[in-house]
Amino acid sequence: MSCQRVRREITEAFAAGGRPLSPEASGHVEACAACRDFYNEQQKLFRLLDNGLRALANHAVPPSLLPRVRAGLDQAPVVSRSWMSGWSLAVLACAVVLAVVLPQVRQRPQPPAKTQGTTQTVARSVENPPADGYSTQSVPPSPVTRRHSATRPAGCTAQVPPAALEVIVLAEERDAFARFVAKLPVEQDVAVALTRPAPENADRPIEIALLQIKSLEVKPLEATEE
Amino acid sequence: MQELVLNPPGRALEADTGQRTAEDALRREFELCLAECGPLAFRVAQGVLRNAADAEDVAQEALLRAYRKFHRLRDAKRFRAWLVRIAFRLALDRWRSARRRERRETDWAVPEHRPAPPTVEEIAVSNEFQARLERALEELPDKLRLVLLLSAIQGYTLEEVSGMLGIPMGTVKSRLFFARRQLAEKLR
Repeated sequence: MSCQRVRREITEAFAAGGRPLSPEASGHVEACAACRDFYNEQQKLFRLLDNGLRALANHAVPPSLLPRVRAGLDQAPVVSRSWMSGWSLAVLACAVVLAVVLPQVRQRPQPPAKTQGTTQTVARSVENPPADGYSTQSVPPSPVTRRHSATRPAGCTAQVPPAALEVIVLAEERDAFARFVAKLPVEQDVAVALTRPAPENADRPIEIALLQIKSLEVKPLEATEE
Repeated sequence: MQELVLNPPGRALEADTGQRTAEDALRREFELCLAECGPLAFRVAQGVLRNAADAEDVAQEALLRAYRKFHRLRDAKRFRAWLVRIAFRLALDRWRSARRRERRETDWAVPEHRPAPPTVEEIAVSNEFQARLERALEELPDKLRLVLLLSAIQGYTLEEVSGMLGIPMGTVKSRLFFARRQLAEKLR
């Protein structure tokens, strides 16, 4: 065993709080005078080190410390125990955010369905009627609305009704509606009438003109004779 | 002109009294912790700063900070660990800023020369050991230094240090080992 290795072991043994040396290292220390000196020196060094640390860490506490702190407590702004700690506030905020975001995430767009043909879409809707008696059926989109349906997510179309893309149909009217939609490509006039935008002036609110008084004559009251 | 304010005598007064009672309870609770852990805060600060006046200032600041946020502490048993961390951080901040200031003023002008390292006996005889130990301590990484200081404070076992710092016992022991070895190498 080399002197260097033994010396490293000696230092580590003292650093570990006086761990005993291995028998090999102990034998070397007994035989080698230089390593024995090193051992003694390390022993003194660690004793000094421990004493120095103890002196440093156990300094007498000045008697003025606690009175100073108590005086400071009187001036310190006291914060009363809040019923809602920071953590619970954070949890509440998360819950609110989730409550707002989750419904929107649920309605997140599935990949936009390809509108291959009016009859196919209608047929699928009719085959799978919803339980509440209503079904949503697609109307043949005009070129403009087709672009809308391709770019806008389905969730958004459900919330904001675009230009007559979806129609709620009663269960008993489904077949009739399907027939009607199927005939639309043939009946061009009807289709045009249905898809043409309504005239702008039709729903304009009624304006009531202000009452105007052209001339006003003010007369003093006549005294009544008794 | 004097302004008159009319206080409604009902609920506001009750709420005020309730709040005052809660504050008093908080204060009493803190006073107990203060008596128990105040000296510890000072010793931690003293271990870093090695100046009683500075350490007292830091301990006071740490205790007042702890008091201001005492209502947030859910587990009163964690107060000691919490206070130790506050005091240690504050002491380190103060020590670093003092050292920066000192360096600015002197370090660049003094040429560095290193004499041959003296033997242990010489150091002990010349009474410089403490000063060298303190300088060596400054060069230790913070986490090693804190473990070394806390374990040197009388009355605290390694288990208590482990609980105070919230680290496993094995980590405390290994940090202590590395800290002592590094110190010995620096002091040799």
